[in-house]
Amino acid sequence: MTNATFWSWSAMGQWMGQFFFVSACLIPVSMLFSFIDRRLVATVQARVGPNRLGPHGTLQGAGDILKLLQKGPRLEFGFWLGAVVWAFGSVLILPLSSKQIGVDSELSVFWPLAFLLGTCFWEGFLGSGRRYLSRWLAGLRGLAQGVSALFPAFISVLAQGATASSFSTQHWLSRQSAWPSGWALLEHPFAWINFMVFWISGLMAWGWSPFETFRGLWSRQGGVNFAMVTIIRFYGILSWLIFTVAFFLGGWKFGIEEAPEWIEMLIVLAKVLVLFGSMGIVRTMFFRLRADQATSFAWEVLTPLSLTGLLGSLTWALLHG
Amino acid sequence: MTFTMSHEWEDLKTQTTPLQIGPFHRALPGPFLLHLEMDGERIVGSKAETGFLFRDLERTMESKPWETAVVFADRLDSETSVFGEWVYLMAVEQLGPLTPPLRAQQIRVLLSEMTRVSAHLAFLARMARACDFQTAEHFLLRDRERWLDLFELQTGARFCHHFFRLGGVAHDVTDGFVERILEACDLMQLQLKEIRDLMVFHPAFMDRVGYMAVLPQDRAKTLGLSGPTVRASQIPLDIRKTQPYGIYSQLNWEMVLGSGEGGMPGDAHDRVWVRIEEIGQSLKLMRQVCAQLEVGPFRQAIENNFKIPAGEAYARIESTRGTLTCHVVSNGGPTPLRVQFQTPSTQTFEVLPELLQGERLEDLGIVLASFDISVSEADR
Repeated sequence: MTNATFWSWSAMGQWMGQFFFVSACLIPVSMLFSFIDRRLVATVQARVGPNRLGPHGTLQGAGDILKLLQKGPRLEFGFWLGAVVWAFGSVLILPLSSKQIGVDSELSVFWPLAFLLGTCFWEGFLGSGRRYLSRWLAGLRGLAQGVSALFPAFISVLAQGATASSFSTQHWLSRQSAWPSGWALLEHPFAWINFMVFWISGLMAWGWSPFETFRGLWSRQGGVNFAMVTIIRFYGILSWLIFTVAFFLGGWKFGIEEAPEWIEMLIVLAKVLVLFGSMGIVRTMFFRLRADQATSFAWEVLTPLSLTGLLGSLTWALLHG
Repeated sequence: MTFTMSHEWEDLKTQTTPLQIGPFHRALPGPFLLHLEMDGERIVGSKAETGFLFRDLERTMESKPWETAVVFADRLDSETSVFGEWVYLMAVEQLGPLTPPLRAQQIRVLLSEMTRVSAHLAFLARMARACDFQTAEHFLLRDRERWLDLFELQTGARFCHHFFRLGGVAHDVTDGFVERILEACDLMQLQLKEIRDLMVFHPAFMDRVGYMAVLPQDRAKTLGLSGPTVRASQIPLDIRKTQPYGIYSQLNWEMVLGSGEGGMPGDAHDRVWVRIEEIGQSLKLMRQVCAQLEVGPFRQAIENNFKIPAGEAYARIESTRGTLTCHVVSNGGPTPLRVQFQTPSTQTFEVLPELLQGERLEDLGIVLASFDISVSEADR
């Protein structure tokens, strides 16, 4: 739906279609990813992992969600509404295939950052609205961690834009070819830095392992609220990885120039799965950090790295046109 | 208009916030209530309220015959039950007087050191869990299972063994037990390297627990703590060395003291490091005992009408958490007149407000885990 007018009926219809399509796919994809992640981690930790529900334990995720939905206090609708809106708003701009890349503009690469920033602020406001000191602190920690992580992510996007001479998702994707040698990741030496910073910043902002810190607002929920949080966080990290794949790893392109749409989507999912799996292995060897340690890492390591990436990318763009 | 900034700032006061954790909470090592006074993220005051696991063990022991009471000493801390049994029996044997044969003493040392290894592994697993390092936790619990299997082989139980008896132990070592201990020691020696790599020398772990909850040497002395906690603060206090009991004086081993490798001496990292090194020393002790295991009786013969004479006795041993003492009073009757335990965890509870002072709320679970408190032992 490239170059569509935002308010046209056809565009709105297509967005709604994409929203329902992604929402419908979200649960099975989340279950699959969660199953793979848990089996992978279990293998590293010398244990069996989920093996009871469904063939080889594949339905364990569904079982967990169903169990959570039956437990705990009622869903605090107002409490979660903002987070849901912010998190799922990015469904409309997910670059899943050549025919479904949602809305595009001259600044569309910044939209995932904007959606994530909104989620972080919402988390902060939620915390400050709670009765308990621990949740108030948790909200602040979440906000601080999210903002700290988003700054280097923003710089890394700027750096990539410097070499692409554009900030349009469509343009970034069109510059990448079907083979890995033509992906943005291998375009110049500093693209590696941009890629790593963007990826890790997303993990940190979404509070995903190993940056699943003691910020606590999410983990203090039980039952149905916890189920909602789990789905939102899972979607959040999944969408971030889809953007990472689109920006740096060629999106839906892999060896086939003109592939059917469903194959393109599978390629995106496969790439996301590789990133997701590598995250799983890394997190087995890490501790849960304190929120201040995570924010320090963002400011003391990721930010200087991203600035290096920016300077390097600018220099590269100047030297190589 | 005069602007007096100093007065303005003097009038500003920080209001602390009360926070209650427990009695059942993931961050706590057992059921107790922790009243905290928070200044932002910092703990500025605390009070531990116990009584949620109170079983009146000492009073119950006083109503049971001398030897039956051993089973209640077991329940002092089911994870390290042999220490409760041993310290009680040591006091009763002083009153007897009874002298367990050498083989019985060797078996007691063997089981004590097995318990020390198993309990230290459990401590490390709890530390890993407090840091949410699940991989290390699973590895450590897997390693501990091997030692629990050996306990099952020898005593028939994985916890609460009830194996020590007046004047010796319940029965001799089972077939193949010594060989399996030696195998387990060899395997554990290899796994110690893995544990060190996973926890002690892991840069992320050092960052996480280094410089945390530092207990300087002079403060540790003042607070009256004992065990690996004070050894991490470089205080050479180990009853096995300073006032040897059993056959410890005949064995060759070294006391491990904190080195401040991951931060500074006496921090949480040192408390982990000391325990890991103590596992190595326990393996050394077990190997020596296995090599010297004497042929002979495993229990002193006691007459049916044997009675504990009137008097009182006091015994102390080095349990996994520190100095465990027992005071027994007899009036010559069939049951003890008075049994009193002083456990290391009781003392840790007493000084908990001082230990938690100034720590961060996010670190509470790790700090509590690093002091290795057994609520069962303290709240008996």
